[in-house]
Amino acid sequence: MMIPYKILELKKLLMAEASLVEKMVAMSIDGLYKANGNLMKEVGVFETRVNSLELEIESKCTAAIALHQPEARDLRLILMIYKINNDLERLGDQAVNIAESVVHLKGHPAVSELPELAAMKNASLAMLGNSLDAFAREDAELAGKVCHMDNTVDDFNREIYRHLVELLKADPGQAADYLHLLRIAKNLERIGDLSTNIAENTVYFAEGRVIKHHAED
Amino acid sequence: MKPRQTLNLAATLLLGSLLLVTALFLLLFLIRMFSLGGSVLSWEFLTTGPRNAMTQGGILPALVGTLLLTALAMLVALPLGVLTAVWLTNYGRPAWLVRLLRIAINTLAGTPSIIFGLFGMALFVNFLGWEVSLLSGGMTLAILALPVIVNNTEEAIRTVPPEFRDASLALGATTRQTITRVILPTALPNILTGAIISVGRVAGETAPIMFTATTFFAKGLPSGLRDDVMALPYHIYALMTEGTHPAAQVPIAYGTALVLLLMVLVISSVAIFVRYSIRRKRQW
Amino acid sequence: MVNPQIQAFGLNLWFGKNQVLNDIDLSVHTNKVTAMIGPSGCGKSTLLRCFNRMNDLIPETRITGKVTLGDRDIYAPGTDVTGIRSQVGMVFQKPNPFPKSIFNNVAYGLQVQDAVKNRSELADRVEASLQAAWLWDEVKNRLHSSAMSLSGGQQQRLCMARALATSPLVLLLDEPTSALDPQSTAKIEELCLELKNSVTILIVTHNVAQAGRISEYTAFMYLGELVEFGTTEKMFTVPADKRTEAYLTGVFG
Repeated sequence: MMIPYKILELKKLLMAEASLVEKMVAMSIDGLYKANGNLMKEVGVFETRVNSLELEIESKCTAAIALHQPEARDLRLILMIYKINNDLERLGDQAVNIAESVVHLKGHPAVSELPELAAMKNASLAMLGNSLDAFAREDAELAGKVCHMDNTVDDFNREIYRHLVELLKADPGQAADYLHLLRIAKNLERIGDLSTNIAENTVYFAEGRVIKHHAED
Repeated sequence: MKPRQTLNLAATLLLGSLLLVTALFLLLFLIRMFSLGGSVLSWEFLTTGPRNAMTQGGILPALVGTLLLTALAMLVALPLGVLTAVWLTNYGRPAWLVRLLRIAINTLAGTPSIIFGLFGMALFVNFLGWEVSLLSGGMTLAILALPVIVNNTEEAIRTVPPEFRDASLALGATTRQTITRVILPTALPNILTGAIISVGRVAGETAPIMFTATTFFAKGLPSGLRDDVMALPYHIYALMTEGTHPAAQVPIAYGTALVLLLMVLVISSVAIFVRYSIRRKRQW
Repeated sequence: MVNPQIQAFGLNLWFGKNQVLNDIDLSVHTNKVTAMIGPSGCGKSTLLRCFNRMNDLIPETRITGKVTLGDRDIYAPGTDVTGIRSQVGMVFQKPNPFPKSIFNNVAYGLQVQDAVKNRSELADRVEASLQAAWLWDEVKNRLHSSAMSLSGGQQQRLCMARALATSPLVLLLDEPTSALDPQSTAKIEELCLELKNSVTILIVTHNVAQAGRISEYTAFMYLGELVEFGTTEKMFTVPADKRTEAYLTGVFG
């Protein structure tokens, strides 16, 4: 009746929010490799929009449940939209954090000593992009693959940590930069986790299976 | 067999046999009538008048008289009765008037028919000066039929589901429109059934017409409302009580009775048929 | 943006000595669906029937206060009640088509008001009403057959067509689907969502989920009082009154 229309509307809003978040993350991380004087400002604009979408989606999900008592697939979808909405907002926060660290690193080319970071960045961005694609296409298989990639990103994180420890011991004067780089790595790892969440939620919505807190599936 | 089923069977048999007894009475009644009066029945009997001091001939004037009296009575009683019932069920205010009317109607319904005859005589024949005539008799019979028609019509109107009335009023119809467009058409078959049954009753009444309409012998058929008439029930009475040649006249009386009886049977059958076909069409 | 089509101001109603409605202030917004919910006996049907003066039919009814349609007080002395009723249509709980043909049922409201002079215009308006009620396709080939031959859901849609024929401003629905099966119910609910664009709808329902599905505004009544009125979305997520919350969460009613 009314509910398919409401669900479609919610999904559209969520995808709009997702695309904004994806851009935010890419934009902020690119700031490491390509100078961008307006980075904070641009990221700030995106963040405002994402926050307002988050509130709108939350309120519409509540209304949809209160007014329409959705069942089965509709219920899973609305609940997962609610959760993914939450994750997207946090992803946005991660992007802002990265941007702040990038600004501090401006003009200091320390990042060139850390080639693994580029690889980690690519992996995290891939996870994010795939998880959002999987949700849009209701593709549980693709979502499953995203969950597997989480280990890769975690490995990168550990490697970067070890490398940074060596770099710090070798050149304590650059400690501030190295710590910012560590933070960025942490943010990227968090982005990987949040993408995994999104993927798990997608599997639950599409197939009704709960795969979180399990090692492999 | 269990005691419950035995009891059931016994009850069924008892009721069945009572039904048979009733039917048997009717059958015997008809057989007796036929045996006493069947001999005089013929086409001539129905189409010619009495001859030879009522020892020969037929009952045409009486037949016509009964038909005219009945028609006049229904012509007056039906509209009056239906309108009264409509007023009682839809407008009925003030309450004391309604109560008064109901008492009047119920009293009339229980009044012995001879009193109607006396009343008719006092009012129509004497006071209004209409003399013994079709008019006086018809009006008297109308008053006789009135309470039955009012009660029957009221009943018919009450069986119209109140939802119809609500729907009609909610669509912006006045009470009058609701009555004429919805309630009466819906109740009409039942009103007609009651009217038809009244006809049967009115046709057979003797006492009300004895002092107001009938005469022992009329030359020809009535030519106007002020003429007196012969009538079937009165004809029977007259032949049996004032007949001068019983040997010839008693069979004629029984023959007349048969005609009257058959007339009532036909009317009742029509009423039953009308009610049956309504029930089949009705879907609520 | 408040745009009320029909309003009650300080409305009180007594049946004999019994006060059934207590100081009701209600604004029904134009071209929206407003639901009235509440436990049995709260007075919602009675209030509904005030809007087309159907309570006048119940003896010993006394009303104080004002009820306006547009800017007219419908209880003002000398008001043409039949005129009000052709502008405020009503559909009842149990489908009640007349024992007439489908055509004559729909035409009835127009005929009693003598609103349409020629037959072809009448036929057009009957068709338009049946189309609006989503019944035309099912009955277009048997307009002159008896309305009683339709199923329950069809009969109720016929009653809606009948009420719509006079082009009313407001349509009052008194638990219109409580006697119907789920499919017919769904159809009528969707019909309401469509109809609200041309007529203001006020629906009494004992089914809270139904109110959630189709109404933009909801009025909650309890013991003859209007406890709360607002957008359905707000009332169903954050009701302002504890009694409303108790009713919605099934504590009583």
